Amino acid sequence: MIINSLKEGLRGGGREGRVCLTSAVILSLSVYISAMAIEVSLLIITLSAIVTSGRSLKVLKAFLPFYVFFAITAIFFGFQVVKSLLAFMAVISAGALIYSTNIKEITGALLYFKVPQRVVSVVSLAISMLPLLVSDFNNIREIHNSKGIKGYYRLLKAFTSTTILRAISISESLYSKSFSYRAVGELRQPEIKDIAVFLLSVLILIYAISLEVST
Amino acid sequence: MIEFSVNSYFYPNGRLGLECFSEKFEGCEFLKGRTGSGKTTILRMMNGLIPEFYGGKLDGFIRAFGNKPNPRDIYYIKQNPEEMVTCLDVIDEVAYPSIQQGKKASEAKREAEEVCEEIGIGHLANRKTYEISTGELQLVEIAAAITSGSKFIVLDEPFAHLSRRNALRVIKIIKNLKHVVSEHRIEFEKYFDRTVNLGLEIENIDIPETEKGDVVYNGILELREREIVAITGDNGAGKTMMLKGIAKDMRRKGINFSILLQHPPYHLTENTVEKEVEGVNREVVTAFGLEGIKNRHPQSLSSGQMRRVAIAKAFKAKILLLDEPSAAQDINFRKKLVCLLRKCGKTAVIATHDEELVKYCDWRIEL
Repeated sequence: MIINSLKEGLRGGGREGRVCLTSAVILSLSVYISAMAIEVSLLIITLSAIVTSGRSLKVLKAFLPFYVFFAITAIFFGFQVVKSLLAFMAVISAGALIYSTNIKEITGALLYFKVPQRVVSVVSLAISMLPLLVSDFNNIREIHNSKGIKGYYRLLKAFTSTTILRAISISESLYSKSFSYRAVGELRQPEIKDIAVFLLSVLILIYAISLEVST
Repeated sequence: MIEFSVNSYFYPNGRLGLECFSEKFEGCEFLKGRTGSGKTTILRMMNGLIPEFYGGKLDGFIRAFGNKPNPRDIYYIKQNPEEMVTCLDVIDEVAYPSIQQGKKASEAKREAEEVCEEIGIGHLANRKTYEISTGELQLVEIAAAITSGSKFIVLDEPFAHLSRRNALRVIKIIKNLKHVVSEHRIEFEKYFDRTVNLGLEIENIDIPETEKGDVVYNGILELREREIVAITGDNGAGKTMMLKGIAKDMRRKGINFSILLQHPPYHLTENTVEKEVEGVNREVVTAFGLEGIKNRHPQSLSSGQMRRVAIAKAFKAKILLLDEPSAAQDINFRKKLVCLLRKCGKTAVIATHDEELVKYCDWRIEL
């Protein structure tokens, strides 16, 4: 479910890359600075849902098994767990902002912020491998669909070895394509909507700081 | 021109990859041979993958246009084009090798667009690489090779996953380029100027007749015991989907079956080949040539060998659902497979592009 939702994210959106990347970082920081304040988390979840046209909610849904874990923990630790759960969802929502742009603009943004080409090219290659891995995982799941620990073990083993073999194959392809760690991205002027997303993210950060200062 | 004078080559694990091979490749050549005869090793040597990438011990030399083989001169396209993908957008994929060679991104993309138009895939330029069919992806990789300005293109079993129509389209496109094609589907041999044979001999295998039994599955299709059915159709027609649909239905009905998908590592979960094929009829193991590799780790085998292990493993069930079982296998394997299915009294549904294999099946479904 998580892998499928990541692939869904590759379809991209209309927001500007640098804005999405900086907003994602600002919002994640806000959760941390506010000491996981509930209102900050809720604001981030709402903002991300609006900007990504609801796709961030699909990502949140993909993490459903983790919420069960939180629910069990809540029996022992009470209200604090609700705060942690919302903070967890807020951080995922902040990351999901990336879904509102396209990967080329994210690559462009990373290069703009002077992230080394080596890192950017590897990140972009890893993302390009994702659809193949999703299809591999789905196929393996269809073959090894027996239940129980043994079934899951076989599934995991087949998926791990397939991924390793794919990685070797792809590195062979990279050699054939004269791979030299060159990364290419796209940059464009932010639109008014993009600036609005950025300003709202900054406002949430300021609110988070004010909460921390007042306590 | 690519010139070979190789006495021997050993892979880093000590396995002999090639022995006593001297040949000159001028372009438009068809390379054929048994599974494991060294075809892929030769192709890998052409662009320097061997020994530069793989390592190992090479006794002899290879010269490509008078120089040491390198990927800039010789572009190698793998059998499975999905494993060549480096970008999410088709146009970026086509421009990628040129950009890696130092060309400006805007210039590389402009050239990529021109090449796409030239070879008739301009309509794919704005698509995602994971949304197009295998046949289309194969053409995208050829476009990338042309854009990169390589002097020579080397294709490893390009027709293994293609319909006849798409295979002929690829042949038409590469006709004007210097190329070598390594292939098991020898029905395409006639379209090339010269054939280099690494010792392929067509074996005489008699396929026994079998009596069909009762209906063992009645759902998406009706299947009788000991019946072999072929599903054929163009790339993207839905052969694999149909096979998966049958599997899902059989699972729901509690029918004993096994399914083999196109990528063999999906199926291999044991530490040795022997364990993988435990309980399988010895005749199958011997006929597939698995005796000599029974102590090896399945994931360390070549893709052809892996596929044979996976098919042999599928023989544990009464009904076999096989997706392109003859890919990466020599011409004799098709007959051998059908012969063993008949001898062991198995029922099978085979999704394939391979017309030779279809000939030996009882009936076909054309999608």
